[in-house]
Amino acid sequence: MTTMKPGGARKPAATPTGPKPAPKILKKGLGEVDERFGTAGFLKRNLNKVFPDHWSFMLGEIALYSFVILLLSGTFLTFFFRPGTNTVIYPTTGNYVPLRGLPMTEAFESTLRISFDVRGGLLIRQIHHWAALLFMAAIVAHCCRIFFTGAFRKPRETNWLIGVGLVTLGLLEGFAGYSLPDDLLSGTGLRIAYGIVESIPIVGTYLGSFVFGGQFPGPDFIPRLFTIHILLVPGILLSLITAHMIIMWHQKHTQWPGEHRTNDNVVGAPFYPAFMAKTGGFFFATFAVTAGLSALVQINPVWLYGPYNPAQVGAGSQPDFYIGWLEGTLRMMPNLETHVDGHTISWNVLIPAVVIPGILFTAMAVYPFLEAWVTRDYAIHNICDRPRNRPGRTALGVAVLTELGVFLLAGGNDVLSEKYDISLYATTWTFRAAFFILPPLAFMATRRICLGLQYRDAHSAQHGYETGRIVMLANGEFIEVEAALPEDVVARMGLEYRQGPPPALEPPVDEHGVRSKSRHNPLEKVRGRIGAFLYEPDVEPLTNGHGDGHASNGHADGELPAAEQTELTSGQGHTD
Amino acid sequence: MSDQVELHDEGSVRPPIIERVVRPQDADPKKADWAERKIAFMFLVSAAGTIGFIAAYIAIPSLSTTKDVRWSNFWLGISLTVSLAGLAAGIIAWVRWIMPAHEVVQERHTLAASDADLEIASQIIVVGVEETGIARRSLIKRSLGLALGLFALPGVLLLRDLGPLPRKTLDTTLWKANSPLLNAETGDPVKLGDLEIGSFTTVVPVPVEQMSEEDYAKTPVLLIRLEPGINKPAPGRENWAYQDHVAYSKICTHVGCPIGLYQKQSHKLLCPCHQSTFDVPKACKVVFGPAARALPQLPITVNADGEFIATAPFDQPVGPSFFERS
Repeated sequence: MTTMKPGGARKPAATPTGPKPAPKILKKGLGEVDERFGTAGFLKRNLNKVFPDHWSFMLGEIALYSFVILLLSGTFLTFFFRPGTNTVIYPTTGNYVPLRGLPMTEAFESTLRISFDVRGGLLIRQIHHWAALLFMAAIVAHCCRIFFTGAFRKPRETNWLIGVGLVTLGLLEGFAGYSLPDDLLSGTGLRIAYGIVESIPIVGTYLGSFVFGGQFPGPDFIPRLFTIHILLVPGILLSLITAHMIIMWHQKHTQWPGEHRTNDNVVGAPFYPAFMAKTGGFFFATFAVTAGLSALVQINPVWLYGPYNPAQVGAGSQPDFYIGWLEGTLRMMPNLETHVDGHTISWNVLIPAVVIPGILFTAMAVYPFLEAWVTRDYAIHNICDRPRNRPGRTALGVAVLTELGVFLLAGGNDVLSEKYDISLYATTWTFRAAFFILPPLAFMATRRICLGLQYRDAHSAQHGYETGRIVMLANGEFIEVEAALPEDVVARMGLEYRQGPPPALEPPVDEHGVRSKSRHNPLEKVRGRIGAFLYEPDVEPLTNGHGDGHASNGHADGELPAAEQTELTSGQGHTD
Repeated sequence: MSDQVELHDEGSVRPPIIERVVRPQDADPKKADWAERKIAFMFLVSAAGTIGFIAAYIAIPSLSTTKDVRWSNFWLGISLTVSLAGLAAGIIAWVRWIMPAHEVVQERHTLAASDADLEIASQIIVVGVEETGIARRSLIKRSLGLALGLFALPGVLLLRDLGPLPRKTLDTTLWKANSPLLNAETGDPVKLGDLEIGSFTTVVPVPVEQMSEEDYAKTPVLLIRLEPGINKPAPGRENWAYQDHVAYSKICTHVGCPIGLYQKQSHKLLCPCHQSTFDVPKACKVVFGPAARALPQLPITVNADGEFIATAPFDQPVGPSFFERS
């Protein structure tokens, strides 16, 4: 066994020594608390809690810390922001000269005041916006990590569902937040939102009128949005995040496969003090990045867009990235509208803005249950899958991400057309074609790549790796020396956790001549088809040469028998 | 499991170590002292950053120009970044250089209880249900269901006054017969000859200040002067234009953005939000993009004073489609 820590070296076991008794004063203090709350047992269990260490496990932490930064910076902003739609005149003494004397809403005016009159106000506003972007980016990355490593599997389905809720609410919260300043860009976004609500059959017109307090823009809407943005959604987010953390803590974190790591243990650093300190340091690191961005990179300069005016619009209007994909679906959609019996159904808005996100979030929510059902895998899983070891799932995830990428790019079709001097029609038609073509291509390519990588892992675990050293044997034959991979490297491949074929179906007729019920159940047929499509690997699973389908026992044999190995040693002398 | 754990200090209060890592600084106290000094330096950098923040806050006391704002934001932001980054680097270096780097191991205990406990828990629930008598006493069950079901209604009912019923508000605008076409910026009536060939302006029926935001949001109209003779009026709309001047709703029929771009050469209106494109001389029908309907046309003429006026209101609702729109 070799240590993976750079510069480290293993040392023989230290002589066993018992811990020193704890200082009396500490014990007394803890005892006082313990007698009232029973905390000592809790501390004993939880301070020693082991957390596995991997960079990909920090993505969720970035989301958590961005959320803390959002709460801190957002609270500061509420001290100055006025969510009003009354018209005020920007004072002729206002610090931003180009807008002096112009009518605007209180919301926009107070945003200008935060940016130009409050010391540090602009910084905190920019920190708030950058942290929101980081929050969503980290959530998306974290969600991908969970998906591609199968960390949503039993027992963690509930936390996956909470996660889907957090993505959805984060998206709404971000949209609500950047709509509050009532500038030209965000007002246009709200106009679009109203148009989308209106497209919902039967209830849309009423829903729009109730939510906005009347016709667009609605005098009550900004104050309502403010309450939603600073109280309602953050409150739900906070409680969901708390539940997310408690469940994660209770179920213990997943870990990557590796030496000594099993489905029944956790290998890593103890929570106290190392993990606690490191994660605290990571909070400051996340905060430092948002502060650095806010010092150097301008974000959402509402004073350049100007106050909202329903008759005006800026060219090249782009929402924040987490809304951008919905902008793309709206732009790509052909102009279908149905008129039935005095009613209009606008498929051109309903499908891209309501149906597609509905399908996406629903599919995300049901995926863990669907996969378990199709693969008949209801076991407890605490080891992360390496994405290559689950080609079907990985390919599906990449296909979905590809589609989202197409949407996001389509959301900037005007910018792309202008920058690269391509006709707007050409870019739009390209994206419409890409909508159908790219995801299947991405699926097939990813599955092939995964299987190839899996094949290579299994091969090198079985045969060792090529050292690049050519030696001449005593009989004059030249061979390349192959060396066995270190055991820990093989263990980290997680070959024993590879996706096998789904369990065989029952035979149509059993040995007693009884027809199988499941074989004639249409639902079972669907299950088999999805399984074959998604989960069955294309190539025969490799064995490690021992015929048991497992390469994890570390027998990465060299290719040569022992006798020839000896020859090699002398052969090496000749080559020197 | 235990055979895999190589090192385990007997009597330790900590989880067993499976991989004891000895770094150079663990073996050499001088190196450890050097690591300590480096960590302390990072914390001092952080403290300097915080003092810099206070200095920047005091040094730029009033933000009277945009330049002040820019420098204030820069110095406050940079010093805050230094302050936070110093803390982050110091703490993380402290963990990595001083605190033990051993990997420890902990068993995962099965979350599930024993079968016996599961049985007891299930029985408790069953017994509890029996104690309530709800299975036998259906009168309680039904009346409670009714009471709780009804209780949900006030919650919904209270939401009723969130907004007015839409009624026909989406169908109408402030445009009436004889409404003047006022320049939206200045409020002055637009006269024949004000517009050059190939140009356009946004017009409203009443000055913007005198309209509610809700009326203003659906009222704007684009008055466009086309090149002579290119307008091909739709059947029944032969009198709706006046001397190559046409007027169309500025609100996109897709999701309601104001249409801001007029391509003079191709006579097309382009919505900057989702690129719906309308062919102006051909009754503003959709030639590209997600909008499904042509822009509604406002019939116009010129009065005795040479000022543009509407001859009738819009013959259809403006803006995005909605379910009740026929």
